[in-house]
Amino acid sequence: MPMRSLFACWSMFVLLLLTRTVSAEPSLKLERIESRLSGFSQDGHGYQSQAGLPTGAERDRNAPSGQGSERLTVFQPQLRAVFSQGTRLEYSLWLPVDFVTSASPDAVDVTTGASRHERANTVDLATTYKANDHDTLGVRGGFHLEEHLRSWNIGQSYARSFAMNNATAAASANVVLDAFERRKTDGGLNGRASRATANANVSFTQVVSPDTVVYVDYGITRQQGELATNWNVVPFRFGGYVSEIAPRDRLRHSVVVRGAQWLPWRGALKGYYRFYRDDWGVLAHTAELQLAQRFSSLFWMHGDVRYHHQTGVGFFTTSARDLSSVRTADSDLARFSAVTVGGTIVVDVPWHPFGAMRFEAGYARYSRSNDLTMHLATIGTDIVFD
Amino acid sequence: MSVRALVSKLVSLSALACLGGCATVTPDRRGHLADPMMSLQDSPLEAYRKQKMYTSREAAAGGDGTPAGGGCGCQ
Repeated sequence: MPMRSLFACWSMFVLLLLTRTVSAEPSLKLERIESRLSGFSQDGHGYQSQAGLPTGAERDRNAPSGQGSERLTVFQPQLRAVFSQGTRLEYSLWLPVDFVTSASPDAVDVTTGASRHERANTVDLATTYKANDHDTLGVRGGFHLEEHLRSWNIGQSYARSFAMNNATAAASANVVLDAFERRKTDGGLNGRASRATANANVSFTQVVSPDTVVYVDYGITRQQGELATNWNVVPFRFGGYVSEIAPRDRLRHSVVVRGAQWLPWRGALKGYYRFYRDDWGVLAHTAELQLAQRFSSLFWMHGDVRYHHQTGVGFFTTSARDLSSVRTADSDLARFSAVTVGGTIVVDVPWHPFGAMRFEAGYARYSRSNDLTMHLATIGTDIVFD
Repeated sequence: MSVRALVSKLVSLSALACLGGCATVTPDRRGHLADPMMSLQDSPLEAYRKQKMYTSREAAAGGDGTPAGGGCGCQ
C-alpha cells in the first residue's frame, strides 16, 4: 500500500506541475467531440448464476443440477470531448455510461430483484503535455459509480519518439482502487470489501517501411484484496450453493504484438496476437485479423475475426467439496474458446467550414464454447473542428 | 512446438522486424501509414467498448496498456 500512496502523491505532483504550466497558456479550444452508442445482447448459462434456478426452500429441496441464466442486455452511450490549450496541452473529458438489464445473476436479485436494472457511470479526465517534439507526458484520473461498487483510478504515461518519429517508446502506470459490498449467496449484505490493482506497461512502435508498422507491448498487473465476485455461487457437493472464494492476490503478465500492412489495392491488413499468463493458472492466446478496404476517399469498411483460447483457473469447479478452500464456478474463469466475427463501415464527410465528421456503424457476434453468445451493434460519430 | 518456444519466436521476430526498421522512412513517404485504416490503436471509445466486452467475459484481462480488474466489478 505505501507504493500505491507514493504513486498517488507523485501523480498529484505531476498534475499540479501541469496546472502551473496551464496558467501560462492561452484559453481552451474545442478540438473534437466523439460519441458512440453500443448495444450488447447476451444469452447463455453458467454455474455461477442463480438466475432461473429454484430459490429459497424450493432450492434447498433440490440438489443443484443446472446452470443459471446469463441473459443480459447492455446499452452503452459514450461521449468524449477533446480540448487543446496552446500547442502543448491537450485535455480529454470522457463519459461512458452502461445501462444494464440482466436476468439476475446477482444474488441480490434472487431475493429482491433490486438490481435487474442497473446504471454504471464513469468520468475520466486525461491531460497530455507535449514537452517538445519528442517527449509527451500524460496523466489521467477518474471514478466509476455502480449500484454496489465505487472505483477510483489514476495513471501516468510517458512517450518518446525518435528517428524522425519512426519509432516511439512509451511507458505507463495505473492504479485502480475498488470498494464494494460483499454479498451472501441469498443476497444478504455481508460487509464491505476492497481491492487494489497496480499495472505497468512498456511499448515500442516502429515504422518498418512506408507500408508497414509494428507495435510490441508488455504489461504486468498485480491485484490484491477481495478478488472474488462474491455474489457468484458454486454448487456444493452435498446440495445447495456456497459462495465463490478466490485467492487474495493475482499477478498477470501479457505480451501483445500488433502489425499493419498497407495493401496495393487501397486496403490494409492488421494482425494482433496476445499472450497472457497469470498465477491463477490461466494461460491464454488471442489472435485477431482485420482486413480493411477503401472504396473512395470518403468511404471504407473493414471485417474482423478474433479467436481467443484460455485454460481455466486452477480452482474452477462445478461441485465444491468443502467450505474452506478457494473455488469458483464462474464460466468466465473456465477453460473455453471464443470467436468474434464482425464488420464496420466508415464514412468520412467534409464539414466546411467547421472541420470534418466521421460516421461508423458496426456489428459483431461473439460466441463462446461454454454456452455464451452475444450480439453487438455500435454506431459512432467523430467531429473534428478546424 | 511448446507455448514458450512459440512466444519466444514471436517476440524474436517482432524484435527483428523492429531492428529492420532502423532505416528511416521520411515523412513524405508515410502517406499510406497516415490513412486511418492503418491505425494500430482503436479510438478510445471503441477501445473501451472492446475492453468492457472482453474483460468481463474472459479471464485474461490486463496489459496492452490497460489495467485489469478495476471498475466494472470483473475479476
